[in-house]
Amino acid sequence: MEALNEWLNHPAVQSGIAPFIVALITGELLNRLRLSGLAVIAGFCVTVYLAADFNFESLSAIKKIILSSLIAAAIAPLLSLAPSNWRWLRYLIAASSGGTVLWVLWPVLQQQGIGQAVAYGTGITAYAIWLAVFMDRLADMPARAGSAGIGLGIGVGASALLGASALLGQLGFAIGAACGAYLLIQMLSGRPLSCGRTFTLPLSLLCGLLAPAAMMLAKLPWYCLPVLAAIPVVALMPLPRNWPLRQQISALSLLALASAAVCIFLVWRKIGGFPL
Amino acid sequence: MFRTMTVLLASALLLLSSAGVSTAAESYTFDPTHTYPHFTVSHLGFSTMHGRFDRTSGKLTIDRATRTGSVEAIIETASISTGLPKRDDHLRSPDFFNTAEFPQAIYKSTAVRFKNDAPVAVEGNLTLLGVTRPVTLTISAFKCGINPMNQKAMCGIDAIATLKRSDFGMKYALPGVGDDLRLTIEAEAYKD
Repeated sequence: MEALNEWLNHPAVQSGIAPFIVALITGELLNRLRLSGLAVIAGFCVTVYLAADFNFESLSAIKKIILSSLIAAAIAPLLSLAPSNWRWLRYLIAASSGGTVLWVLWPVLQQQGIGQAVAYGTGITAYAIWLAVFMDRLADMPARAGSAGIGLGIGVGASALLGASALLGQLGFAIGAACGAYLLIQMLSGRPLSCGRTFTLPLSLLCGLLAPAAMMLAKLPWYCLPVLAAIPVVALMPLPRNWPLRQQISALSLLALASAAVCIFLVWRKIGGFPL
Repeated sequence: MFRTMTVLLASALLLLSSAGVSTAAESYTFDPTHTYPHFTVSHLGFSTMHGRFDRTSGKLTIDRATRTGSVEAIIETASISTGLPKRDDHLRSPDFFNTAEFPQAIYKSTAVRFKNDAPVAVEGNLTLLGVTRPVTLTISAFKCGINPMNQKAMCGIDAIATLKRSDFGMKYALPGVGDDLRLTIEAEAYKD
């Protein structure tokens, strides 16, 4: 029992192995119900359970992020039923993401001077809206959405970790691991999984909140946000139509991870190492 | 005769008024240059790590006659210092004290326990990371008098408390970095 606890307390298990396995099972089991997209939130929740908790007594920024992601995951399957060409819905989701990031980080923004608060508030809102819009465009493209997810998850996770918050880092890595599992099922089976807003909404919201939180609460440099925002755009890159699914996933994931690597490099250069 | 009576009456009034002052609650303000909360925590079970908060403010009142008092201390959590800036950055992050979001830890007493004329313990509530929990400070030393350097009335206090950081939602790196936090406060306060 002690060995199991020790194992479960290891950060690599909490934010890598555990969310990967849970997302793998969720993605495969729920595919018949066209709810494989829930793999990302399932993986994230496992990491929250192991590395933090679901106690909302003090509604801190991180607790608000967890709460928002749970609400997003609950409504996302309903939003997936709406046609993807309903643009107003896309913009409504984007506006909600922008509002959510302000709600999450409002107590921190309030403590800044007015000029700084406006600058930070505008930047993080624009980032969250951008991610929501572009991830929503990927809702009908499981390979591209999953690739963007692995890039965003690893990028946010590693950047937050270097930016002096291991917990935010772990939450980001959990998203990356869950998206990795989601992609692995597709690569092994050679067929795409169901995606939709069930996958893209919690993913875009989480990454749209975690990176600004790492910037405002820890030491993530602001210029990492535009680099991270480029990842879903990179995942839209046109590929030869005759490429098999495995090849598409490999290429898109490499591109997304390369973008994430740029972000990680920028933080490394600024911070210079892992937190002690 | 009349003059003697007047002097006696005036002296009596003066004595009564000074007695009244001595029985009233006295209020003191912490001297931030001599008030430092320290903490110790186990590091991976191998050693005990020390840290300090460099900025603390607050007030205390004491009424020895009625054996009552109060303490309010505000600790600026961003002023944490362990002697290594990189570790301090991590301690300021959401993993530990989350200082950007919760810049202050506030202790407010609810009761002061006395033994004879001296306070021996303070019961109160500590608000840390937005969570409020009861914390008792055990007073190991308490002395009031005149500061020989500036001739001002002051009190000095040494107090100790133990608390579990997980009670306040600070759960990162448990159980490696210990849950039990020993808080030591050395404070000096000048009479208002």
